[in-house]
Amino acid sequence: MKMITIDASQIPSGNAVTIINGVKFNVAVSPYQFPKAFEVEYNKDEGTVTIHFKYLGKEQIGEIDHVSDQVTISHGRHSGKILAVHFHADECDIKAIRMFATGEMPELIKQIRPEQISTRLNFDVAASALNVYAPQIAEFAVAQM
Amino acid sequence: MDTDGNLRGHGWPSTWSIDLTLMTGYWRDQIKLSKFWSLTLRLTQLLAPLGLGAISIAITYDYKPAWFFPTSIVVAVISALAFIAQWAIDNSGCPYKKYVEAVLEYADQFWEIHPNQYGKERFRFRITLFELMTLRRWRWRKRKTWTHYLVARARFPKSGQRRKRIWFVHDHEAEVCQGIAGRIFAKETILFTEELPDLHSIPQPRDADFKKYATSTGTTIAELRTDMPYSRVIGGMPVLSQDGQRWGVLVFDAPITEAISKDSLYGENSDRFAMMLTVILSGGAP
Repeated sequence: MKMITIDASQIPSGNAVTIINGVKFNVAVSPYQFPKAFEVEYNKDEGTVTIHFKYLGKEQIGEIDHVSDQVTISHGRHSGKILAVHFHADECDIKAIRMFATGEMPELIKQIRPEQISTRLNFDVAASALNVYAPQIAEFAVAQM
Repeated sequence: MDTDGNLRGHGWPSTWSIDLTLMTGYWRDQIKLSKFWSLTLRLTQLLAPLGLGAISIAITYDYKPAWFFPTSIVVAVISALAFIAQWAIDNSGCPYKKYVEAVLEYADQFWEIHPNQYGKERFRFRITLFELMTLRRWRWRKRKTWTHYLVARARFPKSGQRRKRIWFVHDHEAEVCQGIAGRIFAKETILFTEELPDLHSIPQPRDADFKKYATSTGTTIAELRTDMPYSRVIGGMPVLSQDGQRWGVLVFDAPITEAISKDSLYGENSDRFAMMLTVILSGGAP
């Protein structure tokens, strides 16, 4: 397993707004839901690449969501934040993995749009972090194959 | 919420049960005795061997005055009570209170030396840590009442006032939560208000200002008229325990509108001491 540290300044964070009782409030993703690092793991038996998101605290995995045939997402037990993404990948296909990490996966994650605003912000940040660090993730995944 | 900004449709729980919880809460300071009383307590503890010795003598020897046995028992009991009192005093108070206050002070100084990236002046703001408490609902009270509330536990800069205000909260309905603390708790994000109206404007604040202040902060107009807060901007973030459950809320407020922005609440600064609080409050560090 290899670790990639996420540089928070490289990830775009828009100004989100929420309305409560007709009053506007500025919101931003909480420090507990901003991913600090990736851990990339390749499981040879199953042929799956797993990207673990590292956060402050030690929340355990709760729900597991099958987003598509290829992709599975593990959510945090209490907050519902994204803890890991598992996807099937053919061996040594660095291009496919990179394409997948830059294009399809962030799209899939953004499409989920959870109801709770904190989880939604967390998913947005996770998707753009994947987008930024896709080349390194693909490299690390292939290195383990 | 009705037109006056009052919360409606939610029965208030009786306040005595909350007062009792606050009184017996573990977060208070350790009980401090004056020099006279602490010395008296120590000396009374020294009577223990005397009392026990006297009891054993009274049991062993037949020839003794009639008052000897009861007196030795009284001395032993008094010294035992002194031991129990000493134990209770030593174990009173919250073990992490001073650590949490240290973290809040650290946060304050950290922001002092790291002004935000646009080179603006850094304004000071007040930091308050709220803890989530569960309200015990009695079996015989069938009516639905609030189940959770937030209590102020630590504050920097410190003030001599007792923090008695509590905010009733709902798990996820931000609309019915009281206060900005409640809103942050329900939303679980970094959240801060737009500019709030000035309640100390000259010659006197308008009624509309009170109304706007009340709807934005989830308070009532009556409360505002007695409290007359100076805060022009309020914000904060949730505090979680190590396993990801909500522990409470950290609230920042300031009388200057520019004091709190996304830059001051976002990034490395808040990461750093969110983690420190989490570790301390989960019972990790001290």
